[in-house]
Parts: sequence; C-alpha cells; structure tokens
Amino acid sequence: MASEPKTPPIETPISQSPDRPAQRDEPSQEVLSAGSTEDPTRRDLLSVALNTGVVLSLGASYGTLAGHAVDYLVPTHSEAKAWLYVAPCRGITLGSQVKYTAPSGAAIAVARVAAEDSAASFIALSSTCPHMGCQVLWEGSKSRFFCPCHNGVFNERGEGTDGPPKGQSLSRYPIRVENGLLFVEVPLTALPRERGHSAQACRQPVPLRRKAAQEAQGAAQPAEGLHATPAGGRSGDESA
Amino acid sequence: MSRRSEFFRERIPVRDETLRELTNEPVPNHMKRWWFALGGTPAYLFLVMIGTGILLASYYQPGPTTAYQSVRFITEEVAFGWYIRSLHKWSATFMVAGIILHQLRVFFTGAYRRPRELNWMIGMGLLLSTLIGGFTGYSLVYEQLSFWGATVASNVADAIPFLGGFLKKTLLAGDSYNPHTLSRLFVIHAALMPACMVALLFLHIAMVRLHGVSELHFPDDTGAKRYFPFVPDHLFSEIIMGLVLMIVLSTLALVLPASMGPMADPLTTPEVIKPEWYFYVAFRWLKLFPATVAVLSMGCIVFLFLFWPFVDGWIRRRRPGSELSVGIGIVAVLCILGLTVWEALVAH
Ligand code: HEM
Ligand code: FES
Repeated sequence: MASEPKTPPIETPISQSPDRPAQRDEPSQEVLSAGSTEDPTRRDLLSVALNTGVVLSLGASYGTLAGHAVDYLVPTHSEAKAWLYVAPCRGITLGSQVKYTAPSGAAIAVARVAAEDSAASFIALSSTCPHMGCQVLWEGSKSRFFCPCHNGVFNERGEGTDGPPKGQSLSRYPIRVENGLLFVEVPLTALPRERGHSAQACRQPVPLRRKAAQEAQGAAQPAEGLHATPAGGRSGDESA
Repeated sequence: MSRRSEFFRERIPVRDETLRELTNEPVPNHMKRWWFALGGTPAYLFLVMIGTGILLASYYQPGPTTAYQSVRFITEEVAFGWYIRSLHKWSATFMVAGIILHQLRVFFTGAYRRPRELNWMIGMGLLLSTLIGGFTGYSLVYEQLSFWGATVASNVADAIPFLGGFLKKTLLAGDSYNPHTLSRLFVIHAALMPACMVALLFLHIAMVRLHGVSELHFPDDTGAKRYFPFVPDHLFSEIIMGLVLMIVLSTLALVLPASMGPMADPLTTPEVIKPEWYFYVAFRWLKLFPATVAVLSMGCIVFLFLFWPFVDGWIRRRRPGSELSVGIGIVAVLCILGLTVWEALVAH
C-alpha cells in the first residue's frame, strides 16, 4: 500500500548543493544534549509544558481571528419599529377581523376577543407561519389561516390546530389603546419589491391598497397610505 | 533527447517511471460495465458546472433589486445565454442523479467496506455539498421558489438545537431575509461549495487510486488480462461519455430550456409550492412531523448514512453472513422513492 514510498526519495539539486546542507543531515538538538547530566523526566516535563503553551497560544490567536470572522459574517442590526395607528376600537366588533398592512407590507390581522376597550381585548396576528416562515392565507369560508408550505392550519385566534405548527401560534404584535384608538408596534423596513418592471406585466395586478402601502415605505409620515380594511372586503389577493 | 524535453525535465523533476505509474493505473475489467464507472459522470458534469457557472457569473448580479432582472437578461438577451443557463441547470440535475446512482452501486456492491470506509464518508460530503450547491443555486434566481425555499431552509437550520440560530443568521446574513442575503447565498454557491467540492473530489479520487477500485469477478470475465490501463483506455471511454452527455444536455436545453417563474414576493407565499425534485423527500418529511422532530430525525438519518460502513461492519460482526445491510438499503431506497413520488403527486 501507499504508506511506503514506492521509489527512493528523489534528490533535488537543492538538497545536494554544498552551501545548503540538507536539514536531515544536521545532528538534532536531541542528539546533542543526549549525553548531558540533566534529569530526563524534568526535561520531558519541560518540553510537554512548552508544547502545550505553544499549542494553546496558537489556538488562542487563530481562535481570535476566527471569532472576528464570525462577527463579520453575522451582522447584528435590529429592525426599525414604530407604534402606528390602526383604527378606532369601536370599529372592530367582536368576531370580526380587520386586515392592516404595515409600512413594511406585512399583513396583520387585528381582531377583538373581549368586549371592553382595552389592549387586552385585541390581538394583532402576524401572517408569518411559526413553522418555517411562509406567509399564511386567510380562508374566510373556513374561518382559518392556511399555510401552503407544509399544510399548517390556524384558527381565527392564530392558534395552530393542524399540520406541523399544531400547538404553535402565529406571533402577536404588541397593542396599545389610547383614547379609544388602537395602535400596534410594527416593523418599518422591508425588502425592496419589484415596481413596474417587465416581469410585473406577466403577473396578477398588485391590489391598489398594497401599492399605496408600498409607496409609503420609508416615508417620513407613515400614517399616509396606511389602511385598515375589514377582512371580508379583501379582493385581488385571494384569487392569486 | 531533444533540447526541449531536456528543458522540461530539468524544470519539472518527475521521472518517466513515476509519470507512467501515475497515469497507468490498472483498471479491473468490470469497470468496462457502465454501471461501475458511474462515478466519472458527476466528475465530468462538475467541470461543465464550473465552466457554465463562470460564464453565468459574468452577468449575474446578486441582490433583491437586481438578481431576477440579471437572470432574465441572461436568459432573454445575451447571445446563447439561454443555452449556458440551461446547460448549467440540466448539469445540476444530472449531477445529483449521477451521484445518487453512483452511490447506489457503491452501496449494493458493498464497495464501501473495509478498507474503503473513509472514502464513503468523503462521498457523503460530496453528496451534501452538491445538494447545498443545488439549493443555493436556485435561490439565486430570486423567483418565488427561490425566496420561499431560502426562507424555509434557514428555518430548518434554526430548528437544530444550540447551533441553529447561528446557522440561520450566517446563511441569511441577518435575522431574516434581507438585502444582503443573496450575496451570501451567491458566495456559498459559487465559491464555498465549489472549493469544498474540489478538495473533496481530490481526496475521493486520491483514495480510489491508493486503494484501487474494489474488484469484482463476473462469470463471463474470462481471458488472462484482468486489467486494462487507465490511460488511454478508460480516459477515452470517459471522453466519449462526456460527448454523449453534452449531446443529451444540449438536447434538453433546446427542448426544455431553463425558464423563470414569477419574481419573489416576500408578502405572499404561492398557494402551491414545491422545491426541486431532489428535496421532495425532505419536504414531505417536514409536513409529516413537527419541526424539531423532523429536522433532528433527518439529521440522524444523514449521520447514519455518513457512518454506514462502520454500522455495516458492526452488523456483520454480530451476525456473520446475514443480508441485513442489503435489506436496510432496500428499505431506505423504497422509503425515499415512496416519499418522493407522494410529494410529486399531490398539491399539498
Ligand atoms: C464553480 C461552480 C459554479 C458557479 C460559478 C455557479 C454559478 C451560478 C450562477 C451565477 C447561477 C445563477 C444564474 C442562473 O440561475 O442561471 C447559478 C445557478 C444555479 N446553479 Fe450554479 N454555479 C456553480 C456550480 C454549481 C453546482 C456544483 C451546482 C449543483 C449541482 C449548481 C447548481 C445550480 C442551480 C440548480 C442553479 C439554478 C439554475 C436556474 O434556475 O437557472 N451550480 N449558478
Ligand atoms: S411554513 Fe407554515 S406549515 Fe411550514
């Protein structure tokens, strides 16, 4: 097998050159000190300590470099968020659902779960599936959210009732009620989406209100172009 | 000796015998059967991928505002862009298929057994790098499937205990899909995975050379000469195989060219969504179990196959002469096939 070289090592001109004697011909440190009177165990201990030290410090140096590389590769910026006005509390009745589009374009389903006008009476559901992050669709006829990726099903309160996310819930945005008005804390930034490119022409038209929300992206007054529409009134999207 | 060969002899100090030994690896006769020489197919396709990949990369622009348009530009406007892109895509498909067939033949001929265990593990590394290459590849187009595929994959990584969060952030270059994500995927696809694969391929082939291919004898294998030389016999076969593959790939590129789906929309998941066929198994698996269970069990299965030669050795030591290993292989193949067909047949 190949552990043994099949041919003798090839002499290169370098190893033969007289002014550069080959390394292996030099008597090593070990051989030179072999005859000395030092205690061999002490010397072994010393060399073990020395080698360990070298290995540790090399490890620490390269480890530091690797640490910096990891910091470089994993950016830590937090998302910009803001409290935005959704609707007057009275506008959302028990059992109904209001669809709110955040400046980032994120679809949020706001629903009332109790009678009195306090933050605890409302839920604002994210449309991002807690399983693997796809966008759930509201199926009005079945009063459920459905996730097309792995057949996740959620009830109108966002609780997973079937499929892999069973037992998990759609996450909820923080809610505040002030003077009878409802606010949610939502992300402001979003990935750029296509605008009027040729590819757009091949697809279904973007519903108008979403377009308006897109235009409002990053605008100084996010209140502009924000809409709250009753869930029942959805058009366009559902036929997609 | 001519002056020119003298010139090279001095500058490249390799002896004639060494050179002859390096190129004239004797190849056992059974390697004349195509089923046994399958390993050459993915190796050849890898070269096609590198060539076409470099050409694609000269127009591709990673980034959510540019990626889709640049791929459209390649497909519709650049001269022969559609051809290069289709070649790249079909080679990827064939490469995955070729690797799977190669691995099947290695498995069912027991060619991974002692002393070739490590080469099986290197092969598993090649399989995984190719799958990662395939996944990051179709993520680059920034069509709907690209976006949702990357989102799901990053959350699959996230479901791994301890390491998950870090892996997800590294893959996406942030907490979620963001404007830097496509550059990250592009680097993984066009630099990291090809580099890993070059290293692994080198090791894989070096190991084959060091051990020699495992020998098998067939009843019709008579005659005194049991070996034929690698150069030129086997090399010529490979070149002919390569030409045939190019014809097949070009035909497919003409008949079924790489197309483009709708551009990614981070706000709407399409109602029916499917990954590439080689991820159907994993996709179906994810639908069957809760996230952590699904991801951990998949991880265990990959680990089992990674260390399969040792598991097999253990089985054969405990029950000499049993065919249990072959049985496990057949069951595994049937399960993978079953889940793939299931996923292919239904919408959800
Ligand atoms: C050096 C090697 C490679 C380079 C430079 C490269 C480069 C690229 C580029 C720029 C794209 C985007 C353009 C396009 O979609 O057509 C792409 C797509 C793709 N690549 Fe690669 N690639 C390489 C190797 C591989 C390998 C090893 C695989 C795995 C089998 C692979 C699979 C894919 C796939 C499936 C796509 C998507 C094709 C499509 O949908 O059009 N690539 N590659
Ligand atoms: S992402 Fe929603 S069910 Fe998997």
